[in-house]
Amino acid sequence: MKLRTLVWRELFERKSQMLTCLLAILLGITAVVSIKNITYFSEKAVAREMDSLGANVLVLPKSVTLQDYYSADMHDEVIPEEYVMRLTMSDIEGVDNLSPKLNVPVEVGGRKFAFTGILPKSEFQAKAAWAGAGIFSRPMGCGAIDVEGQSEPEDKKTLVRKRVIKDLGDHEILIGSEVADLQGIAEGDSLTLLGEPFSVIAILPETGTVDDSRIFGHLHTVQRLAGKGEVVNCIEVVGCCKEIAAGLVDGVNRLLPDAKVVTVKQVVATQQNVNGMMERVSLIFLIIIVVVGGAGIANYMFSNVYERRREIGTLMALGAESGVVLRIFLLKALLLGLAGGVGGYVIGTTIAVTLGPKLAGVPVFPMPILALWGVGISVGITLVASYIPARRAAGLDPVVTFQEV
Amino acid sequence: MLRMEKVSKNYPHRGQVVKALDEATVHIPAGDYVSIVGPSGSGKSTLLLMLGGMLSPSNGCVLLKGESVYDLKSAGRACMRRENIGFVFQTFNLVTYLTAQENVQVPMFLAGMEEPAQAERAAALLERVGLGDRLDHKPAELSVGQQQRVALARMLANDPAVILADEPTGNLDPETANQVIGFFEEFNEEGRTIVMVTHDPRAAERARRTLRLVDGRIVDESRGNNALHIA
Amino acid sequence: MRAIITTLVVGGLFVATQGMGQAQTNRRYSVASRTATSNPSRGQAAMDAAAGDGQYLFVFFWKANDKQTQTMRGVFQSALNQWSGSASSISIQITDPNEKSLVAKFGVRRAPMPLVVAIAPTGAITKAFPIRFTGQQLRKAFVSPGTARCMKALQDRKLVLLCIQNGKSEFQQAALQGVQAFQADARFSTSTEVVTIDPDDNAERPFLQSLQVDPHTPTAVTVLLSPPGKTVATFAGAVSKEQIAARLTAAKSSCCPGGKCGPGGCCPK
Repeated sequence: MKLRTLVWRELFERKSQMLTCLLAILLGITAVVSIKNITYFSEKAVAREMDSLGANVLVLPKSVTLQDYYSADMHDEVIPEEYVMRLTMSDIEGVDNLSPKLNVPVEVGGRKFAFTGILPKSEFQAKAAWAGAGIFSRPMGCGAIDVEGQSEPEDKKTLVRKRVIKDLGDHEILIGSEVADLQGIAEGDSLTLLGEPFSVIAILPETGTVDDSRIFGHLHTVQRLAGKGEVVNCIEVVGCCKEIAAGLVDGVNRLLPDAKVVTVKQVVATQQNVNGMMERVSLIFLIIIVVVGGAGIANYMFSNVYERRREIGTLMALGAESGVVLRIFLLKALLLGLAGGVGGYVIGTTIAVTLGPKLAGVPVFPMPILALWGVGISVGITLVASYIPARRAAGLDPVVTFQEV
Repeated sequence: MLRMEKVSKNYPHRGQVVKALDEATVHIPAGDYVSIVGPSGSGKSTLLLMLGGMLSPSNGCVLLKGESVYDLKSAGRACMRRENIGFVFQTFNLVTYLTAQENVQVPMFLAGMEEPAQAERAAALLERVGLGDRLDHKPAELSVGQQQRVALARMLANDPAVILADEPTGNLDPETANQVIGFFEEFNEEGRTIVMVTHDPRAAERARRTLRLVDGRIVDESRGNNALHIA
Repeated sequence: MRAIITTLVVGGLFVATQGMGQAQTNRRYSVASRTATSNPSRGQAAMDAAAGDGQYLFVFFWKANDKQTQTMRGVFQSALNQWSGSASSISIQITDPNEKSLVAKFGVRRAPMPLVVAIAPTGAITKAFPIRFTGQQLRKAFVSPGTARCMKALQDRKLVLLCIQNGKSEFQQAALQGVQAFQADARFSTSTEVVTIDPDDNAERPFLQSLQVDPHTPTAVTVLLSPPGKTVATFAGAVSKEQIAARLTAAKSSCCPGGKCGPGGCCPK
C-alpha cells in the first residue's frame, strides 16, 4: 500500500464523475494546443512568405480572392496573356521578372496534380528594351547581368525559389518533389500528359508549399492542350526590393485597370488577421478552461470530500495526520491534471496535424513544447482548484463523521 | 494504561449547555477488558472517542500510559493512535475500493512500513481471522461478518496495546457476534487492553468489567466473569 | 495638234514623277493579300529598304479591324505623314501567313494589339506603343544615332562600352586603349560592342543626360552598359581592362547590379 495506490484506486471508484470532470479540462487543453499549434505554423509560413516573397506582386483576375500566395493561379478565372507584354513594354520600374501561369488539372498514376504552364523569360524579356531610350535613365532594376555568352547556365531547380525560368522547351517539364516521390519519377524520364509526351528535365526541391504537387510546363503548350486560348490565371511579378514593389502597384493598376493587383502583404494580411484572431480565441479558451474547468474541478473535489468524509474520519482514526489527507487529495488533483494535460496535448496535436493543413493551408507538425504548456496549465488548474477542498478534508473532524450513522 | 480524570464534555445547543459527559473518572489498567453500556445518548461513544484522542474534553484530562493525550497536538495524537490504539467500528468503515488485504495494509502504510512487509503481515492477519482465501475480495464481495473480521485484522495491523471498539457486534447476527467476541477475548488474553461500547448484554458480560453510563455519568460498575485481578 | 501632244506628254511625265515621288518619299505598303501564300514578306522588304535609306521604319501591327485599331491607324497615318522625309511605315496583320516569320521574329503574336514598333536605321527597336498612343508619343521613338547604336547592341544582348570623348578630351587615348584591350580579350570579344560619341554633339545631349554624364566634362568618360540598358559602371579618365572586368564581375555576382536597386537600395536575403 502506497499513497499513489490509494489515490489511483479511488480515481476509478467513481468513474463517471471523474470522467466528466476530466473532460472539461481535456477539451479546453485540446482547444488551446490545437489552436496554438496551427497558429504557430501559419505564422511561420506567413513570415517565410514575407521574407522570400515580400517584394512580389500578383496580377490576378478581378474576381479572384486570394489566401495563399503559392496557389495564386489555382482558380478558374483568367486574364489575357498579352498583359505580360503590356507590363514588359511599359516604363514601370520593377517588372523585370515576370512569371505568368496557367493551371490545368491532370491525372498521373490515378492521382490529380496541377499542370502549371509558365512562360520562360527569354520569350518576352527582349521586349523590355522596347520601353525606349528612357531605359537608360531608369534606376537599376532587379535581376543580374544577362549577356550573350556571359551568363551562367541556368539551374532549372531554382524555379521554385526564384519563381522565374529563363528557358523551357515546348515538351519539357519540371516535376514537384511530391509528384516525383508518389509516382517514382526521375530526371530524364518521359511522362504523358493530356495525350502528349513530355521529357522530365528536372525534379524540383521540396518547398513545403503547393508547388510540390505541381508539374511545370511551357505556358503555350498548356494553353493548347487545355484549349483555353491565350490566357493565364495570374502573373507573378518577382521583385527584388520591397520599395520597388510598393511603387509598382499604382503603375500596374493604371496599366491594367481590368485586373487586380495584390501585394504579398495583402495576401498574408488576411492570414495574419486570422492568426491574430486565433491567438485571441486561444486566450479566451484558456480563460474559459481556467474558470469553468477550475470551477468544475473544485466542485468535483468538494463533492468528493463530502462523499468520503467517513473514509477520511476512519483514516484519521487509524492514525492518518492531516498532511496525509491533504496529500491524498492533491495527488488526485495532480493525476487528473496530468491526464488532462497529456490527453489534451495528444488530441490537440492530432487535430492540428490533420486539420491544420486544410484550415490554414500550411503543413503542421507536433510541437513538444506544447506538451509542457498543456500539462503545466492543466496541473496548475487542478491543483489550485483542489487546494481548498483538500484543506477542508484535512481539517475534517472525524467525530462528526462517526456521529452520522 | 488509560485514565480519565474528571472529564466533562459540554455542547452548546440553542443557548443551553448540554452535558455529554459529566465529571467522568475512569481507570483502565493494562490488560483490562471493559465494556461500556447504557441507554442511547448516555455518552458512551463520547467517552470512547475521548479515550481514543479524537474528541477533546471540556474539562479534565485523559492519559495514555501516563501521558496527557490532549496536551499533544493533532499530529501527535494521530501518531499516538497509530502506535497504540486500534479502532473497531459498528459499521466496519472499510475502504470500499480496496481489497481485504489492502484495507488491512492501510494502518501499516500510515505507520511507514515497507510494502512487502505490509502485504505479508496483512495476509497473516487475515489468515488469523479465517479470511486467508479472501485477500483480494473487496468489501462488497464479503458478507457482513467477513467485513467485520477484516476490520478486526486491520485493527491489529500495528499491534496496538489498546483496542477501542464501538458497537462491534451491532450489525451482526448472534452467531457471528459470538465469533467476534471470541476474537476479542483472544486479543485480551494476548495482553491488549480492550474498551468496548455495546448494547449487547451477552457481549458485555464477557468483558472483565462493565461500566454503566446514564446521562453522561458513570452510575455503576460491575465485574464480569473474567474480572481482572490487579495485584 | 502639237499643243495637245505636248500637253499629253507633260501630263504623263507629271503623273509619272508624282508617282515616283510618292514612292520615294513615303513608302506605304498595303496589306498583303490574304489569299497569297507564297509571296515574300512585305514587312521584311520594308525593313531592308528603310535600313538602306537610313530611315526609321514604323510597323503598325494589328489583329482585328475593330474600332480601337481603326482609331489608332488614323493617328498612326497622320503622324507618319508629317515625317515623310525621315520615316517610312508599314501595316501588318499578324494573322497574315506571308508575315508569319516576321511576326515570329518580333515575337508579337501574343502582344497587345494594335502595336506600333519603331525601328531605327541601325535595326534597334527604339520604342513600342501598345494599344493606344498619340502622335506626340510616337515622336519619342526618334533617338540620337549614338542611342540607336547602343540600343542595337544591347538588344543583341551584348555589353556596350560607350566612349564619350573627342580630340579635346583628357585621357582620351588611355581610355580608348583600355576599352580596346577589354574588347580584344577573348572572354569578352564576342559579347562586347564599342560605341563612341562626341560630347560636343548636340544630338547626343539627351542621351548623355539620361546617363548622368556631363557633356561639358573635359575628361573622357567610359560607360559600361548591360542589357537591356543598365549602367553597370562609369569611369572618368583613363580606364584599364582589369578595372572594367572587375566591375563587370562584381555586378554579375550580386543580386542586382551594384548590389543596389531602386530607391533606397536593397537586396533580397
